[in-house]
Amino acid sequence: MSVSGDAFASPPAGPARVIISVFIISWLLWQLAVPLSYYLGGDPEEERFTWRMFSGVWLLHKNCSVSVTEFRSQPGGGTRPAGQINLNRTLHREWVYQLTKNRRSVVEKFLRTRCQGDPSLAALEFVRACPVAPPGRIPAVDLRFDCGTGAFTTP
Amino acid sequence: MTDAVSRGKGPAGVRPEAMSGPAAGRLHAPLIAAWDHYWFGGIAAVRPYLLVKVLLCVLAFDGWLHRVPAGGQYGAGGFGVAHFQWLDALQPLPSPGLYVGLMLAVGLLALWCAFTNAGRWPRALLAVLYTYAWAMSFQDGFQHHYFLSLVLMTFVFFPRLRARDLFAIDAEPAVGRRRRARPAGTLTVSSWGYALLGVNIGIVYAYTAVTKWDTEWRAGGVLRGLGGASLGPIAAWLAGVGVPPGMLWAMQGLGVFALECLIAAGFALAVVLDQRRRPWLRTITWLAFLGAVSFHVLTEVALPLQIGWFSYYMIVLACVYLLPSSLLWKLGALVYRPATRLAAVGQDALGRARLRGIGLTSVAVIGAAGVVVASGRALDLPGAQTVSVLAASALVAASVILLVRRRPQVAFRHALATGLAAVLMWAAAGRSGILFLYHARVGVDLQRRGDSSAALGAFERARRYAPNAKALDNYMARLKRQLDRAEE
Repeated sequence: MSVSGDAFASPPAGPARVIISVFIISWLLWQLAVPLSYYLGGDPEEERFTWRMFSGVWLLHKNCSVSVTEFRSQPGGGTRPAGQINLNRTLHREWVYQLTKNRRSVVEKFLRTRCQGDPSLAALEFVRACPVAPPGRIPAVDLRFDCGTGAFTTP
Repeated sequence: MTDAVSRGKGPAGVRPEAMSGPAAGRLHAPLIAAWDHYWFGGIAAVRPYLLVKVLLCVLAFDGWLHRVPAGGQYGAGGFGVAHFQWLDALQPLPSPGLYVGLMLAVGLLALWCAFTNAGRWPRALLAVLYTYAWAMSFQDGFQHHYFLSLVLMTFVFFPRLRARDLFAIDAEPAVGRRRRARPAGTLTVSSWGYALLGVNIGIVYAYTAVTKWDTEWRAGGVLRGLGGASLGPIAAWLAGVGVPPGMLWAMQGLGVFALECLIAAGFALAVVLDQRRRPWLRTITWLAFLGAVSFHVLTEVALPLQIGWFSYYMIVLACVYLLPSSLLWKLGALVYRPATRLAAVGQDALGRARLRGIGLTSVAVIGAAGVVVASGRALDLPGAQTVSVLAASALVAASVILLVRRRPQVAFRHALATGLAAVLMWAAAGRSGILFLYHARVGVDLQRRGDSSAALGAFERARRYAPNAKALDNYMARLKRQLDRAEE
């Protein structure tokens, strides 16, 4: 876009118009592709940037629950459960909601932070259950985070 | 004004034969011409002008009234995750001071841009600050904040338009052929940024429509989950006449889908509304306008959604894109004419007081900087003072540069705009229960997480601004007794 005088804009001419056209096409591709990727096999729970406000997934998430259990090392090897974390007393309410949505970066950072804050921890188990959701729609999650290696495994 | 201003046929200021370019082949020429018409064609200048002004004003107050109270949650419990991993690696842990300060700054800058004829750099800065405000943490998960970032990004490419070029024509005596040739409300401008935003809004509505094919939507679960109790009597009446409940929910899902598709098409077509005055185009945009406004008004009235002012943003966008430009011009002129009269009175008064040029500007800049700092100090919010000092410093620095360049009038306007924005910030955030809400929310979260002593401190701060201090006093007394018992 070029500006004529200082009041009104006139259409761009020559190379500027080509550059702007390329920009417009790129913008539109971006805006079309990001939501489309959700429908073409993306994470069914990752609805950010997809314009799926108040979707079925959003509704089902409201009935999900989440728990995190701590494990400590035993003298003879192996680990033993050391109790569940009271998430409501540990985190702001919004973070608990993000955990129920199984937001991977939030889950990972929370578990990692817990491990770093307490060196006696050996592992943490993250469980998310959505009993109301139809089978396969919102999958149950059961992950174990190893504080030593920083790796996730399924128990 | 230049020849770029046209009366509507084809891209403003461009000869039709020049639009395709010499290299375009015979086959491609119509396509390229259609492309140029769509993206670079004439748009009633009043549309982008009003959109920027109105939307930025709404954005400022939305930030102060709805987002500042949520600032206390940032960094609570020493935990935070950004929307993007790269951002998480770069930024410190978001804090209430950072978030609240950012929202206050966004509001100030938005109003300043609305009041002045702000250029691209301030608008780009606004887009960056606004985007960072939601991107810094998953705690802000509203998709419409991302949408508003897109709106602000396209604003960067909107033309700079002056009110007097749009609204003063009829008020001045007709001089010369060009002025007589331009009746009010028909001035057009080429703005591909405006066209891009229109199409983007269409994409948003189209994808939102697709969501209505979810099983939960078709079964009515989402609407019931949203609290659509107001549909209960309709469902009961339909059941009475033999229509099964499932039919109602399927129909409402289909109805919302069709409506959102219509609105999407309306926004995409509205871009050429001022170029092609065809009856079918006007019909579609009118239907889309009525559909969009009734949809968002009903959403606000019938459903208890916690989506801030999203509906109002969409209504503003529907008005600007879908209404006839003559109507928008009349609305703009309604505001412009009294404003110019007020400005003339002000200038006369200043003239009588013999305050002109650098002297007048210096007084205005120092006064506005003082108002900005005082507004920040008056707000009992983290980050407020820092932002006010930064804004005042930026105003003084910019004014010095403008004075050195012998542009005291511009500096004067900037000072007035900044001072007015600061007063409005103080009035919005300091006089509307926001301070109470902010500190009370901090207290509730601290209490929930077991820190009753700190919660009591937050409630005591909230009490200074409480609309009903007695209720809070009773609550705090109970909390104190609990603390005393715990100490015993």
